Amino acid sequence: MHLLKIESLEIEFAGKKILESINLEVSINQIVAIVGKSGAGKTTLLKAIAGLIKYKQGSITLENEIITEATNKIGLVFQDYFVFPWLTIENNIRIGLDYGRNKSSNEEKNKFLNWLLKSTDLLDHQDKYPHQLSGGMLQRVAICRALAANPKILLLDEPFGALDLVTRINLHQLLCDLFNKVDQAILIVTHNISEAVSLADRVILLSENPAKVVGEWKIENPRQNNNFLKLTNEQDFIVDEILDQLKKS
Amino acid sequence: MLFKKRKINIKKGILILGSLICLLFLWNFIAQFYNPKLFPKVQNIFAAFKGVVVSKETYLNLFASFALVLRGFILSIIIAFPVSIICFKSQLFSKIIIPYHEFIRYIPVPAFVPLCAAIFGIGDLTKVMLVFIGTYFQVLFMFIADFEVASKGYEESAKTLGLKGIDLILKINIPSSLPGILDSIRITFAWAWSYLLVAEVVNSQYGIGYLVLQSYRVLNMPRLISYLIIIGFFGLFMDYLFKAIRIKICPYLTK
Repeated sequence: MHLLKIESLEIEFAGKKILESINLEVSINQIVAIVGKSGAGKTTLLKAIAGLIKYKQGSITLENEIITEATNKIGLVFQDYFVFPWLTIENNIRIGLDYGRNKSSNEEKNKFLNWLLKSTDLLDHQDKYPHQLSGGMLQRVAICRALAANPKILLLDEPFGALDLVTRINLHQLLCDLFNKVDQAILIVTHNISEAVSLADRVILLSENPAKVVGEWKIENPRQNNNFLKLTNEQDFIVDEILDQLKKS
Repeated sequence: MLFKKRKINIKKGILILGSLICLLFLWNFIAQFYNPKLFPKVQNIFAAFKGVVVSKETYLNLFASFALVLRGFILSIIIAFPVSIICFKSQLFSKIIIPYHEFIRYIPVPAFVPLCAAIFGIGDLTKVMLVFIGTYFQVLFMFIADFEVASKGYEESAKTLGLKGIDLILKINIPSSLPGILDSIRITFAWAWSYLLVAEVVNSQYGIGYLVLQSYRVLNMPRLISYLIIIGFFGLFMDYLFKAIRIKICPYLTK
């Protein structure tokens, strides 16, 4: 069964078409990666799915419910993190818990908070403020906060974009670990094709001006080594294919 | 501690002292071409300043003016803050009320003196209202800009966590805009202070503006300039105070 379904989605800004006839499906426990050139409209697509941008044509449904405004059923982690600077790390994550898991008891919330902090190696930093943490740590806080809100699907916008290589690899592994432990689907936008191929079950290529789906690849045995620098021969072949297609689009 | 201990930067100190000495020499150089009654020399100003700075009368009048500014200023902040939030959140409300505010914003404050005097009388209320008119219409637009600049990314992020309505305003919009709002308050306080001097032209019996005016009437320029220096120092002190409060309230701005 499809968790998220996008049909014939079109978005225009000031008379200019940004997205055209986007059809996309994401199932439970699946990671789908969207790749494309910078400025192709990938972030616009994520924001539309998250209910932050209004669309006139097409439909976005989550578990058969049409998405017209933002909801905590769809979590979004921005490229710029947007971790609230006036709150401690713990309180940043608590906002997610308080609004996404309002039916849970305080004990359950605290247990989940501790699990998140422990899994992401942030336990020693929970009382700090965001300006005291590095970019990699902030990205982890943003992911924790989004997961705390109990979304059905997590949207990640260039989650590793501004990080150094070591932090990038660590975070990549962390994301795979978290994905195996939580019952959620992930839709990730990235311009790093190796990253997309090593992480996702399916990779979708968007063209630009306007953005359209121009290719889709299914990855066999995804997330085997959790390192986008060590791809299998088959994954390497897919990366080459996507690159060729990207040059043509 | 509100004010942090700062390391004394000798190079910076010498630079400031040097520029001050140059300025005083330049002042005296220009002063020799003018009537000393209208353009006094530095030494005459300094002599008057010594008298003014130890006088109780100066501080009583300064604080009387400060109390007036504060009343008008706080009134403008109390009204501008909620109005700016409603404008930020409601395009319809914004479209209805903003044109009137834009219109009034371009009318110079001194032009309101006769109107205020006619409506509110020639007492303190007129002065408070002139400070209010001078600051409210400016600070409102600054607050709206502060909300617009600071909030978008945090607001979008919060919406995906499930925040909406009043929770979104109280927990996200206001805290994210707070540094900008405090800065706007600091900047507009200086304007409020300058409008007070305009207001004190109206039938004043006390206040620092009144002292300036009295000195002018008897052409006591050294004394007049001394009062201006005290106003300047007081403004500088308030500016530092606002900056320190801002850092205290938003400690994450230190980086």
